[in-house]
Amino acid sequence: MLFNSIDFAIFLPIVFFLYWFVTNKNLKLQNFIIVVASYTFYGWWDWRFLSLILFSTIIDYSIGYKLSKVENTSKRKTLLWTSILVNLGLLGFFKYYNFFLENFVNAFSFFGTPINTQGLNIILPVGISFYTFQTLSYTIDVYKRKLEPTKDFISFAAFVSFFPQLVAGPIERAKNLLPQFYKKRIFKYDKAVDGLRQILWGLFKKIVIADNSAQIANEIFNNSDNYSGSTLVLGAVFFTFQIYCDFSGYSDIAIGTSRLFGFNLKQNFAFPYFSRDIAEFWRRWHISLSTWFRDYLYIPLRGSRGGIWITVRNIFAIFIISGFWHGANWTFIAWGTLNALYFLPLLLLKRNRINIDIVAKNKILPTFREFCQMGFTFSLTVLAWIFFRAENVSHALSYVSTIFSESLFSIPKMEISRFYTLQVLLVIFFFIIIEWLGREEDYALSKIVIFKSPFLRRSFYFIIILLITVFLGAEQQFIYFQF
Amino acid sequence: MKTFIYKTSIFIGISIFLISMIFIITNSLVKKNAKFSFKTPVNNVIFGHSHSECAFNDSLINNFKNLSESRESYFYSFQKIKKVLAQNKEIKNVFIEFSNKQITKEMDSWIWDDLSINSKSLYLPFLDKDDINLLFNKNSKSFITGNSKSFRENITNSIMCNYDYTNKIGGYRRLERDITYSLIINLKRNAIPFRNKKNDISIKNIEYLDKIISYCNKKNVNIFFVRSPQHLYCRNNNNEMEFIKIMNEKFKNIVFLDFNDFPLKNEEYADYSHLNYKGARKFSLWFNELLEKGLLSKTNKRDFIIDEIKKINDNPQN
Repeated sequence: MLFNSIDFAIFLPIVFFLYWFVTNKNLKLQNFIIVVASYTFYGWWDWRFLSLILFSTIIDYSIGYKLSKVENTSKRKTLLWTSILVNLGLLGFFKYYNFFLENFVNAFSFFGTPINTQGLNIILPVGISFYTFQTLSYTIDVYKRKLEPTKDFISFAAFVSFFPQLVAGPIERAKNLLPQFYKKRIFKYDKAVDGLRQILWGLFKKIVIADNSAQIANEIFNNSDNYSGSTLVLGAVFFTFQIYCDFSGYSDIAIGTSRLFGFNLKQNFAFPYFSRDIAEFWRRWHISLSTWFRDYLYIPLRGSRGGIWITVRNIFAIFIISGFWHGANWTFIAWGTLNALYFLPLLLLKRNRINIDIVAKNKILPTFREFCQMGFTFSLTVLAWIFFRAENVSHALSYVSTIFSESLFSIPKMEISRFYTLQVLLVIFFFIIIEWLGREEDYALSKIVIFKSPFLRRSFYFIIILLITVFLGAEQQFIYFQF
Repeated sequence: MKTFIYKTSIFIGISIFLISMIFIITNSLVKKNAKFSFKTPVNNVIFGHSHSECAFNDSLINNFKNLSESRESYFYSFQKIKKVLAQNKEIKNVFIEFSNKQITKEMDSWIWDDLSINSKSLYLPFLDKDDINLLFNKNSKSFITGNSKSFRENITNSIMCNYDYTNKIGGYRRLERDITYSLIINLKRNAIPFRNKKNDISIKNIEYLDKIISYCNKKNVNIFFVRSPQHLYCRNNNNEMEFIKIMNEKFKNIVFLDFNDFPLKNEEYADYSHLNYKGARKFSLWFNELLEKGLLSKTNKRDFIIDEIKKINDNPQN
């Protein structure tokens, strides 16, 4: 089920009603409703893959339970590795099987030993990368004795399948989310209103900015051979806004929906395009995944404490694996490598933690230097997104080489109405202003409470709803569903 | 909880009301002010989809306007014809592209599939109740998104007081490409089977063609069916029998101007079913000559066309 669909608009009030009015007196029943709702939400796409979530839930619940009983280190290690192998095995099979097979075949052919084999026709289960990482974090934390294993299967099932963040995150840690299922949730007016506001902002990002930027970006990327360098730059910029608004819009709707049910999820995006360097960008982009890799990969590999070569190795490892997590394609690996190359000089020069606070904190405008830094970081990001969006690496390279040609200085032209492009640019400009004004908050629209008059505030919300109504394009799937 | 539900419901209710009001007002403004009248009056207009859109270069044909548009089914041509005839009283002859493709089932989906509704959202404010019901029943999701696009266009037009639709409702499309030869090679190599089955006949599209005929008759405007030139390899020709049958059974009173056999070389086609600018130029100049020779007043128009085509075949240099 998509958040931006009529199905979800009907589903959400029904679950809300059952949750707060029918089962509110019994915590277990309330958690059970969440499990049922989550399985319905997921099964709406393809009910067959519910068995995978259930399997993953049973495995990690059982292993967590066993870990609480076993003291022997080697047995504990065996249990941990069972969980890792099962979860990553499922992920590997569904997501990477064909990729590895194809590359092995190519490699053998290259060395003169052609192999005749065919890939499997595998459907990638939606959200598998997200819930796999979420359940893995539980087992690893229990193994490290950072978390008490749960005995409540329903709570654990609700934690794994919690519908607002099931298919595209934020990837919640068991330490943060699981205990919330043990406690009785109390309805709070302010929290619910804030949740609705964040849902509204998420829908605006997705429907108005992402889906409309996608129309232009898709046209340019799909026909890049026919366009000039300047048009390709425009295409890459539109994709830059599409990917951000698509994914952070999903996170906003997920967090807002959770708040309606009395849950708090972690912030997943903290205005990454206002970053002054790449290190800051990666602290602000897809925070739940970056911190997951930091805690479960980078730090166990000794992070930056093992000398220069270990640090370089770890940086490349974390970025390349992070890229590969997004999909079984060399383009994602290239995207990860490029980001590692951006990041490495900052780390080696120990300048990776100089921009911690949000830019121009407590000020209206940035300084000229900050403005240039933001522009430069944004440009690097746009360049990297080309690899993320391209069909394959050679498409990305030809796209980039056309950008850096004489045609970069021509007037952009494309097979999409100029008037429509201008309209999309205008709403992007409006979006940037709101994001800038709200950059010190958890999400941009919460800043709008500065409007003291309720009439002004509600009028502003109405404008957002009107924009959503008039920019309602064809319902498009969220990009991160495919990861 | 009560306050939350109460305030949220009120806010949603007011928002829906206000949006509906803006929608109705802008829709009415567009309906009332939409301008379809041409700057230079013409007596002859043609409607159809991409076949006629690419074949009739109206800058080379006197007293003639091409209002064809890619992916246009008769459903949208009907909306356009109603508006154009109402505001251009001097129109005497309406040509309708009636080719093999027009009778295929695919044309029905060109009424209500996602792409068609969204690309023809311009006409949504002008639909009557039956048309709305048809689109809503067949594809409610796209009908909603199409209306959203139309809503945006209506707001912009109302704010800018721009109600001129004459440049938005089709026209001659110049195609540069020439891929017919490579298509033929590919077809021979892969032996691509013909797609259309005998029973794949359009229902709704033909129903709207009937409506067009009735409307033109009511307005005392002459109506002619036209089949613009198609390449010999054009796949749709496999339904020629059904095409002739429909023509004879349903539309025997309509004059059919068949240019299917107009001689063109491979390089004058953009592909099997579309003429490129070279083909369009050759065909349009010849068609203009036919009009000037009094094609529309001839008693046996078919024979006249066959004779004129024969003349070209006999003297290819001319």
